[in-house]
Amino acid sequence: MVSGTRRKILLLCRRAPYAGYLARAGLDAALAAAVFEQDLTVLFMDEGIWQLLPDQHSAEIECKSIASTLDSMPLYDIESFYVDAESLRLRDVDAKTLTSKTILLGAAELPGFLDSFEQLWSF
Amino acid sequence: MKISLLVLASPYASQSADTAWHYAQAAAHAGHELYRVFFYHEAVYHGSRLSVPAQDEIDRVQRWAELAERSGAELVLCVASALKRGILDDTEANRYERGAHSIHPAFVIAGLGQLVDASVHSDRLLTFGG
Repeated sequence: MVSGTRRKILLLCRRAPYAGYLARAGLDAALAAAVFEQDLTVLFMDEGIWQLLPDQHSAEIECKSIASTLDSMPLYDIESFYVDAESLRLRDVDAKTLTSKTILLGAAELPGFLDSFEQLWSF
Repeated sequence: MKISLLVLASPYASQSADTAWHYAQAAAHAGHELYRVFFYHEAVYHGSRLSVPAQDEIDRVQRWAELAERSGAELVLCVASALKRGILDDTEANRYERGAHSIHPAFVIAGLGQLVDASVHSDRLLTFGG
């Protein structure tokens, strides 16, 4: 079904984990891209950084856990997540508290980073 | 240029889906090839054949169908998003023993693999957010 070129794709996650279903939709798209062997990188910014916080008790609001989906990403060869440092700073979130392996990107690095991908999937 | 769109917005909840349609229309008009429009998340409501807009409103389902007819673009609804929102084709309606199908004939239902395929086979993939 999917053959040929391997795209260098950036999945941009900008939604809070449980404010609507878009955060989940983005991660599902990421898994699909990984299953079909695309070169996928994930960047969390804006409200999306909340997806990376530990101790998500999503069952209490009858939702599947975003945190456990992120935990499963290494199985799909998505090993680390990029995070916009400015988004953390604005929300007073310490990078040390984030769950998964993260790589911080400063404001100066961001434009070049975004430019290095062929496609942006923005959720 | 070969172009595909990823549409996330419901037809009546924001202007994003309208922007997607106008973009697609302009791209086709400018001579670009529209390969596929992948409707994901709330955007799958675009594929409902049961939608009846008010007489003084634009029929947003019909105009995608007409654009696809003119441009040759494939209109794909994400299967997981569509089923839970009650947009079913004949196969799915039979599989899940629902009394009727609800998909407009201009649309097809497929998996997220078709989004990846659109990504691979298009020069550009544009997201229109939800």
